[in-house]
Amino acid sequence: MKGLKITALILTTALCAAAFTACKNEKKPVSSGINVISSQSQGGAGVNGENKATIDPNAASNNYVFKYNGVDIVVNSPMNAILGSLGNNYSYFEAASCAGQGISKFYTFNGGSFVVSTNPVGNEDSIAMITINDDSVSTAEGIFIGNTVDQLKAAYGEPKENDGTTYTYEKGTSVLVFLVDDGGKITNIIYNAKV
Amino acid sequence: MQKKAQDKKAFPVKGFVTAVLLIAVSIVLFWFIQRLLMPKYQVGVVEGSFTEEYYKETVPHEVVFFGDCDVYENYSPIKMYQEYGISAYIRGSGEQYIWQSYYLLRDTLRHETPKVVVLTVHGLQFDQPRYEPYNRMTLDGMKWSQDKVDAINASMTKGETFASYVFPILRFHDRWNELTPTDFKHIFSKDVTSHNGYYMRCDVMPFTQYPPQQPLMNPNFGSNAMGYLDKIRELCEEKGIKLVLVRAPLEYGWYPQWDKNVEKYAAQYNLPYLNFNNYTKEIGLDLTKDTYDAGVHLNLSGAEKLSVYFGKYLKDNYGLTDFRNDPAVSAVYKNKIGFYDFMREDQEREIREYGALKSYGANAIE
Repeated sequence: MKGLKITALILTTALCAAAFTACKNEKKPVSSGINVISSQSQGGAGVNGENKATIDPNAASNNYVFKYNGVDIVVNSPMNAILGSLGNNYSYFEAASCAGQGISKFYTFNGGSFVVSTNPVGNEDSIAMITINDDSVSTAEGIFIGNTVDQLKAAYGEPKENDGTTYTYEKGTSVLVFLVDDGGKITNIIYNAKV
Repeated sequence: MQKKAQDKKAFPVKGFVTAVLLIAVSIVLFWFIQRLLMPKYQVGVVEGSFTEEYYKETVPHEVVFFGDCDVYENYSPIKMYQEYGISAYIRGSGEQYIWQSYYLLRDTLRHETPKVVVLTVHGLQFDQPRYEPYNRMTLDGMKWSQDKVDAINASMTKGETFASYVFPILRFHDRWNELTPTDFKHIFSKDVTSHNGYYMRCDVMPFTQYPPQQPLMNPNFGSNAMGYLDKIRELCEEKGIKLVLVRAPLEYGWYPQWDKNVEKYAAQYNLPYLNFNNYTKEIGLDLTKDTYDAGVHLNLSGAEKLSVYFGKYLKDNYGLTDFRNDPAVSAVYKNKIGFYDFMREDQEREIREYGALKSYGANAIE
């Protein structure tokens, strides 16, 4: 009987303690402070719909860089820190997340030459993707839309993955993807965040 | 001597009762704390309430929608009832993956068998679960059954555990320092936040232009997603339910290649597929007025237009009952319409007074 009582006491104490004890390696709780990104994905690079981001403190030094107006634009780094330096030649679109706090933001530069999209990470807007759409801009390594696979390999070497139409390079927490048409010419360039 | 003997006899009984009481108290305390710590989804992010709100329904539904915001933000079942007497319900939730739609359909069939299932194809773009918070919002509200077990197993992202769905306190225990008055107010009961699953927004943010679409690397839907579409179709066939595939009249987040895939599938299995982007004129949609977030979702005005259009299609093609002639059902709908009108007027008032919604949507998050 004494054992049963002790068990009951221990159980009560343990349950109360467990309820209020913070644990390690848990994700942030779903709550009024829920922080999820847009479910209205636009597909995009990598897996369809995958478009996550984080804040990587080493992104500037470790990731692939896209340069515009002399400013480094790097995935998994805060957009707010560089937005003011990028000039005003952009249009802005935002998509609120379904059932959550936070907004995915899209900055379309030069009438569509390239798009920088961000996702909320805490209080920051982290750059999730940079999409190059025409040949008026190029990567920091000098590759632009219309270049050939040979030129691509000369600049970047052998890709990590290559399925004939998609050439994928990885560096730090960035993924650089080149889409190639049947003629072996680059049609799209995408910097994607790796989480 | 005799008293001592009696005391000795009574003691084990007293001790046993004490121990049982202690265990009972600890279980109740555990349950109470778990209820307290779980998100209530009563203000701001109300979408997490949608799954469980269905179980409060007392009227039959001949049309049930499944899917993500593509359904629960763009169709108004109340408007369909008002116009055609259709009793419809949206079992939608934020980023509802298609395998979750399948298990929610199975769950629904435990309660009723609708004549028509409407499924948005928007969710086909996701072949694997992406975000744990969306899982919680869709699955925590499901009643326990084998379908919930299967839905959890199909949905868990890396790092999630099944145990945390059985005992949500394992997931939410560190919310204790961010509890709000709403958490205490709704420990034991929750208010209905949707209108037969519809998420109402009356504000307006005109559409101007979408950003250029991101390149689509793989035009095909994943095999997992397509496999669950097959399961939904087969289940509907087995139960004699008509399956209708839809896509809301918003081009954002959708590719022509995907549309072709759906058209091909629909033709193969003789299913109707209505991409309402092809019917915007007939619907009378004006995205300078009918969207609250610049063309990502419809607002109430847009949802009602779409519901009038789609409701007619449903009425014309599926022999649905006019429940306005059913006294019991219409009495329930009278209350539903009252709540619908109240929320509409309340939102319109806030927009007039403050220029934006204060008690609804992101601005209401505590």
